[in-house]
Amino acid sequence: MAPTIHYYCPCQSGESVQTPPPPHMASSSASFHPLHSLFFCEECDAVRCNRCVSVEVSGYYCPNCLFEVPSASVRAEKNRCARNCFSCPICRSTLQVVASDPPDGGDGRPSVSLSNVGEPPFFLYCNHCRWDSAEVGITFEKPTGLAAQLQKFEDSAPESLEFERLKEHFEPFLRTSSLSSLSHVPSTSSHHLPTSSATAAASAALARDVPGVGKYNPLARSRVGRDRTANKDEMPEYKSRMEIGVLGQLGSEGDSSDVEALRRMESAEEIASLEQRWGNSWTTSLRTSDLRPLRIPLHSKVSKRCPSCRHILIKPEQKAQSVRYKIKLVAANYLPAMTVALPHTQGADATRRPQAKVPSASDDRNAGAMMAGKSYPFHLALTNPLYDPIQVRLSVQRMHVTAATNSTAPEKARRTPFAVSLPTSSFPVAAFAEAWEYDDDDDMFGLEDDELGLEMGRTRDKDGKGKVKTVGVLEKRANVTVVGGEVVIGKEARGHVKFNMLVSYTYRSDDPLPSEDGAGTPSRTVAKTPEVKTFTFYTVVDLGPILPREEKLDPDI
Amino acid sequence: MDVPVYYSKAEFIETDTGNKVSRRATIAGPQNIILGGKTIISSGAIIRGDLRRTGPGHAVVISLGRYCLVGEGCVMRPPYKTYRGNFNYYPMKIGDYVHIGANTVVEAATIGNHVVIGKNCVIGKFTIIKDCAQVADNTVIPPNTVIPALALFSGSPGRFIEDLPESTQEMVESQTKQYYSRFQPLER
Amino acid sequence: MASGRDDEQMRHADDENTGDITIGPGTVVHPKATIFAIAGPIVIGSGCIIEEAAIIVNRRKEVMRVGDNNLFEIGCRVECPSVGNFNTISTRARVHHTVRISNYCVIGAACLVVPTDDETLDDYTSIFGPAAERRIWSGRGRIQEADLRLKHAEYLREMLPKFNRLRRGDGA
Repeated sequence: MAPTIHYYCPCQSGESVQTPPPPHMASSSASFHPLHSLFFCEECDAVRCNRCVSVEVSGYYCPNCLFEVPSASVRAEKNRCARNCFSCPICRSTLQVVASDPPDGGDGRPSVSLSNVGEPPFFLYCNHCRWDSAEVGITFEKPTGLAAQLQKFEDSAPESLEFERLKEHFEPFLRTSSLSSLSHVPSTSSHHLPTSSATAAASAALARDVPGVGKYNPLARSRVGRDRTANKDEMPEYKSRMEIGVLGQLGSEGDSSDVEALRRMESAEEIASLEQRWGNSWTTSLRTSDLRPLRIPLHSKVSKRCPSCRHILIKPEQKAQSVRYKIKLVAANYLPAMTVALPHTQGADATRRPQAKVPSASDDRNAGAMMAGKSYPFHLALTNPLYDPIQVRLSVQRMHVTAATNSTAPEKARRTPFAVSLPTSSFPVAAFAEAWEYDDDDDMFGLEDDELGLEMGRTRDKDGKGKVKTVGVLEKRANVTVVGGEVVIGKEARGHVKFNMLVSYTYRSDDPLPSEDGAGTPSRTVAKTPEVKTFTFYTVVDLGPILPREEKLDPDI
Repeated sequence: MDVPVYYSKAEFIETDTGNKVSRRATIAGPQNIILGGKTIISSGAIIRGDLRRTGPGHAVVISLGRYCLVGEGCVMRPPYKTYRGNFNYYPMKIGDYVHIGANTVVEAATIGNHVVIGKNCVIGKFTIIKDCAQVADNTVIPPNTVIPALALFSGSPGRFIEDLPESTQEMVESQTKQYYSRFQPLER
Repeated sequence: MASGRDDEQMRHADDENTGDITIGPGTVVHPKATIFAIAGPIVIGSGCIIEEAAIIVNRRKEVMRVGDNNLFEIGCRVECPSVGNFNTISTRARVHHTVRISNYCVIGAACLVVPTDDETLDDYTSIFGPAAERRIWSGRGRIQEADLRLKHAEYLREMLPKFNRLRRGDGA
């Protein structure tokens, strides 16, 4: 596996703790993300991730016909495509509408040459597994508006009718109580994540007492009588249209008939798998032969907001298939992009494989592993996305001393199985310029590659003695600076060479200084000159697995 | 940091616009194929420009945009069907910054820009792949499938897995450009 | 270059055909397809389409018989001792020599069919998905599919000679 570098989003840790968990803890992986999946809030001056942003639907579309469904009709159409898009009940591929075959000419060939649109009845047909809807008795006289024809069946299902009745029953109550509850926000929504009005209303609704259902409350027992009488005034009792048992028999046949059906089955394929039944809105029969085509569920485009200041971070264009955004505040436009590489694997690749071949995965794995008890140089390439040059300083996050002292001696040895050296002084990364985008002609890159080759050669040569040379700035070109680091792996080391790295960079800011620094910006400090700002963030660097020494010896025995 | 991917200089023909086409690729009907520039056709690939729509005159059968990669052993073939009783092949159009992994078979109708398709995939006839979508390795996309923008598809049949990050376009653009610059000749 | 006639099969100059091979009239073999009679001979019927990079192999001593109007799609590999009529072996599917294929079967894209014991697939068997699941399809649409295949073969016989060097065989 190639070495990776991921970026820290502080949302998983508490308000007070801004340092990430140690890299070897399982919880650590939840806090680190690839740079390209992160956002950046300019207001808070902070990194945000998909786990912490609040999301709002900005539009619905069918992923198959790409029709943009107006929000108003999404509910009536039950969140599924209301045109001609269905998924196969057997393999969940998309179904096609096809015409019936003309009469057989006798030898499997058509008796007359086919030239027209086709003849009814039409049916749905799966290109992948060859299921067709005529198998379950669904055919159409016209090849259009199929969903509308099928939705009639859906809507007349007893479960659907019951649900509609339930909604009708609760509607007046919901309307009155939502009006009254909007004024006072219940305590449960004082959660630190602010929410949109829609989610606030939903959580308010969820926090309300449900009439007839006792809300769990240790004190409630004494008051339960009072609550009931209060609610009874508002709510008449609901009577279902049919008995629960009857309903079960209509859909999934009920327990005893299911058992009976299972007794008579001869192969596992006769039972619909959980996956095949999962997408259904209502309970369905257990038998594969009863499965119906499903209208394809809609997808949505979403806007994303900063969880603390509600500033919008992502706002897509209205058109469903547009990949452009009206607002797109991604971390990659603010933080330097970093890649990490182990030159000893690259050197091997470049010399061993002169043919035009991409190194295969197995080769990579062997070459990428590091031996316990040895030291390895590594390269960090930083690319500056800003239009101003930056000064970068790197440092390795120390392991928690308290944790180390509390643990026993062998554990302590495992906690620091390797030592990482990084350049101690800060170094510059030149500003990004649009012009470099066009400088991608062969000559320039050929030259760069040669230089890089020399550089790698040099570091390799001095690996034995001049170790100092591997640490420091190795190369500068355009808005990229490559620095070298080194890892010394202990003899008893196990696991991965994985460490948290603190990156801080200073840049010249065009904005006037904000009057106050909010609580959400503890990582940023203002330097003496007012135009210079410093931003600090954590990353985790994974250089790859350590091969224990024993393993290496094994083949020799 | 950009490790070069070397190819033997004798194997590839480089055009004026920077396309690099392996002599070990099979290009049928080259007059019906358009390469946008800086596009790489790897060794063992088969591209069927000969399966053209009937009718007089010149017909573009397969067009690829800029910075595309057709991987080793790929087969690119236009889709066919009968329409109102007449049989025909239909053109295949592929946008810019599209990478197609090794040994993948493509019979799509259109592939947008910034699309990445993995290795050993089968992209069925008349598939439509919108911008910035991705197809994982070993995926089978059945005929007539539509893959929406910024969606990841995987499996057999290939199905929607997840939405891709908002910065997919920039990432794919820089990766495909980088691959082209890394793809360097080696004398000998 | 003469256009293909119905009474002749059509093969490409860069196909690799080795061994005792008989190909029926109207069968089209695309460039880069391989037909390889290692042990026994291979007899292919009429109206078949064998697409690019498809591989048809006979490892057994007995004659491998492929019927009429079969479609062997891109990069498939077939070693079956017998194949009936109107079958589709989809793109990159692989079928082992233990399998005999009847009629109107569909081996799905990228499916691997390698039973350890000899078996014969019934008419209208459809194999699909990563686990090579099986079902029997209804046969609805089969006439339209046959029509498509006949017209496809006809089109190829007319169009391919315009672009490719051909080998016009009179047997193997």
